[in-house]
Amino acid sequence: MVTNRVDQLFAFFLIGLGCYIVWTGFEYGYKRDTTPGPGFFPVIVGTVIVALSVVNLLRSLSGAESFEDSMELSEILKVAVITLGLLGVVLLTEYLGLTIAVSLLMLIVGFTANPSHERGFLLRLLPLCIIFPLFLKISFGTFLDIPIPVGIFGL
Amino acid sequence: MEIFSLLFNGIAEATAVTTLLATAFGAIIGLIIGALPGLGPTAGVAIMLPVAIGFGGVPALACLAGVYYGAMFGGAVTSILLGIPGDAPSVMTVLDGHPMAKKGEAGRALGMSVFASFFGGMIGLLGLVVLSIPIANAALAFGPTEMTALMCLALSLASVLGGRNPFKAFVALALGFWLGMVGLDPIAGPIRFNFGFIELFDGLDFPVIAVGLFGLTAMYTSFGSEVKKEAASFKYSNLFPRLKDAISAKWVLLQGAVIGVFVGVLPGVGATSATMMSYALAKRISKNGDQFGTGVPEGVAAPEAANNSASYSSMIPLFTLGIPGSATTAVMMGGLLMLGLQPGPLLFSNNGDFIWTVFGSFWIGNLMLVFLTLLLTPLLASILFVSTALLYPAVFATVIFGVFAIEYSMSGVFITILAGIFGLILQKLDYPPVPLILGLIIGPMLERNIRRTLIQSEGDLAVFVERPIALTLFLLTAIVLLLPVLKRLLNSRSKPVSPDPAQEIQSKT
Repeated sequence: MVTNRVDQLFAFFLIGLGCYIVWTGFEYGYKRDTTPGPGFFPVIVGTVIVALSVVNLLRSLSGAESFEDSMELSEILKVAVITLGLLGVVLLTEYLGLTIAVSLLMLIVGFTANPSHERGFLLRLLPLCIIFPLFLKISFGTFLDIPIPVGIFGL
Repeated sequence: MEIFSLLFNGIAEATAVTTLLATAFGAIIGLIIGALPGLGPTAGVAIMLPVAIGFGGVPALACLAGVYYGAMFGGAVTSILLGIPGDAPSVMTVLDGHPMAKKGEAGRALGMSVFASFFGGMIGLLGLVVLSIPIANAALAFGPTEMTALMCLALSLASVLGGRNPFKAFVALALGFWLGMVGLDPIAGPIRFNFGFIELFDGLDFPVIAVGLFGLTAMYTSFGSEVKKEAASFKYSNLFPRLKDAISAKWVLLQGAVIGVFVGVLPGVGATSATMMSYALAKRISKNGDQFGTGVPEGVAAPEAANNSASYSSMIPLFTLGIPGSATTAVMMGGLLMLGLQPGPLLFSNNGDFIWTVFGSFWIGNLMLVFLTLLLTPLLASILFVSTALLYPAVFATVIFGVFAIEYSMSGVFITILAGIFGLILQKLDYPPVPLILGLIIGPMLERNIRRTLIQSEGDLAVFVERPIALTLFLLTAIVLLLPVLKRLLNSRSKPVSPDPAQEIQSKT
């Protein structure tokens, strides 16, 4: 039921996006004299998105296409936490450097998958979160010569 | 004969240490990724793309291809030992592979799977080598109108055949086109859809989107899925295919490999369909057809030969026409572009040495995988039982470092995260991601071709149907577009049929 509603909202969002693409396409210029301008393709593509999304919306509303809810709340929360962790890497890399930011992300991913303080798990996860980013830093930074961002701790 | 001389030279060139190491590295990573439920060849190639590109030239492509066919080999391990398909193309292998394992014949099933994969791979490679030059030569005669028509046909096939709901598939294709428009307009000049971000001036980097759309999405969906089944035990000594099995399955192997070659070439159809067709045909032609599904070696041979053969032949349109027909080859095309190479007919004349060395590395990789799979099967089986709480942090970390390496900037990582979330939404709402990625990569070429042609013809649309090849291709496109309607009409007239075995398996897993 929830997925059906999300499907309808997404189709609605796509109709809006398609209208925006068509509008912007006309602003870029659909034609220049007799030949197609920069807005030619956007207008066609936007129109296709609008038309087909209307069909999808109607199919969903009429029950021609329906979904069983395929994601539980706990799964959605896990995805949300990991996404926040990934965004955290983007924001923190400037200050902490990529290696440390990725270490923190690994901890978040590990604890999200297994929220446990069991000694055996910690003894495997914590060293992994330290050693693996260092391995990646050496692999990418030294062997592949990629300028890995360094933070205030010099890593 | 000249083709084989070029190939032998290519194989000799591909024995360079760096190429061998890159092939082995890619094949091992592919085996692991293929064995892990949820992460298939596309996710594997997407995740490894930024890493492989760092190797440069032939080793980069050898590594990516290694991941691709390694995943095809690896997918069978989980199917046989656990009854869980490691990836979509190994769904059919479960039907007979797992019952064999339960009967105590896991080694025999794995041995047959490795032999069938190798045999299918060799036939697929033969198809790739033999068909590439004639197709590329024919394509040299193609002008912009024929190329436009060919792209339309490929994209229509991929959209109509690639998803359950063709309306959603075409929306995904249109979204891919739109994303491909971001950045500087290649003909008239203005910057389109960059929303004021200077980082989007040159457009969206294809690999950045591919890693998010396939790599991150696959990780999100398979995250937290622990393997709780018990692996079937097997003896190492039993791992080699029995000569008797291989001989009795010779026709099944051959038909599987040939189906793989022809189905793999078609855009949007892919290895999974090839395995289903091959299994269904093998069931008909085999003497043991009535025993299929109870655990017979031929039931393993047919899909495995087809999926490996299809994985090589799916590269034919990529290398010869510059048109990828599947998500995995689209990601590989991104790799070629990042290496500064434009796939298409001119690749063979301008970069002949490169391409034949790449083909040579495929042959070596296919042979290498036989030994690697036999050696690493116990390790692959044990990796399945490593907790995702330890495995996935390492994969996420590799993705972040890899994506950073593409543009040397965190904005790429940010776009990958957005693409990952977007991919997850698309997947849950049944919008197939393959047309989107094909639209993203082919869209800009299609737009350039159409606009240049219309500029030359001063806006006269008749130019697209004046040449017979273009006209034929456009007519085929129209037929493909009408396929869903025809299918619906036929379905409404036909009686209900027994459920698709692949869907049955997928619903069970």
